[in-house]
Amino acid sequence: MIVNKDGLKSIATYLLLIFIFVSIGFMLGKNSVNRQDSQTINKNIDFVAVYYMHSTFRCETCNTIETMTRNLLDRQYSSFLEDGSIQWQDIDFMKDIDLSKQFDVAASCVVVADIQNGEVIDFQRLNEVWTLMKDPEAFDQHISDAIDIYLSKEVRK
Amino acid sequence: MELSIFSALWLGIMTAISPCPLATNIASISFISRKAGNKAHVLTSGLLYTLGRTLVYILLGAGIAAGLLANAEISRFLQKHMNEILGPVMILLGMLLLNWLGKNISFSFKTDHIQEKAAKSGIFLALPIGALFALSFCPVSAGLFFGGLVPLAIKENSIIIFPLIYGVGTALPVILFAFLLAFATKSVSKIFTKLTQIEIWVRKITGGLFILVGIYYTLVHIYGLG
Repeated sequence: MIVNKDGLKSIATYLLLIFIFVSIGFMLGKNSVNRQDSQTINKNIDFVAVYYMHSTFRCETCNTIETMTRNLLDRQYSSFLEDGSIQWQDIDFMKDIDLSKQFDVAASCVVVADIQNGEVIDFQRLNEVWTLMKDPEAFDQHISDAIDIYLSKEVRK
Repeated sequence: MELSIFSALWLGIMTAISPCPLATNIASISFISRKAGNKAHVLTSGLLYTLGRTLVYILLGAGIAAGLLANAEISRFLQKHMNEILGPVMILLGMLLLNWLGKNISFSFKTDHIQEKAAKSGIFLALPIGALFALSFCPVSAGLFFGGLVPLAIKENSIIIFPLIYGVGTALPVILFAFLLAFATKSVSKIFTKLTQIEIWVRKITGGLFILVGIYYTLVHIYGLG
């Protein structure tokens, strides 16, 4: 069977339209069920939580911010990570709606929170990571400053 | 204040040159520069694209400053839903640019009329395309706009000027490359003296790019692939 140029265009057009309609249907179905419960926090201990809040779609820059934050923790706070005084979590803020509302997260960012008996007592949302990432020293300092405020309270206990 | 205005422009440029809006930027460059032989067309198209982007940022910034929109809520909504909608819309736009709607299929409504209208008013499509791409926040643009620009604009009490400057910044690299591409296309066509034919091919490439970028956005943002 020989299909001419117009025939091929028609086939491509129909296939693309079918793809669009199926995708829209899939999107509507997905959005009606896609919700994630808040991450469970250990209610018995007090600690400093360092969250990397990211969107479902991960971009290269976002991954770099996450890596820079994680490297800082491993380099400067490894003993606190080991004894649980600092806990690291990465959270998809598009799915964990409760946590993203609690921290008022508008875009991917780092959040440092003071957790006592499982309750968030205070937190700092560090949106500036986007502009500071070009200057690793300033980036590390900015995150360390936020961690140290809450960590000193933990150490004093 | 002057330093802050420069920061707003720089945030816009950083948004445009970051990797995450690369796909839509390539589509925009191709769309703006598609009539290489007509300087006025490329210029107007570029200005309308900038206007579309800028209007979105001004409206969002003003809405947030006035308390009509919650910064975090609107950001999450746009990041989630606009990127999902963008894929199918770009595929449709690509098909319109390729004249595939109406000619090859028949619907009960007059798609050929839509096609004709789109061809005639093609230049004005630049404005909604600019607005649509601006609304489709990726993680970088959301981080820099909602996390950087809006707080800066509120702090400086300049909720119109800062988003305007930011919008121009996001469009600048795109327009610059569009002009370079249009200039290069025209120069090449002079050598071969076949401008009309080259423009037809540029239009086809633009339509194809829109479809490919649309499929990419659909696969990534609706199906979660990649």
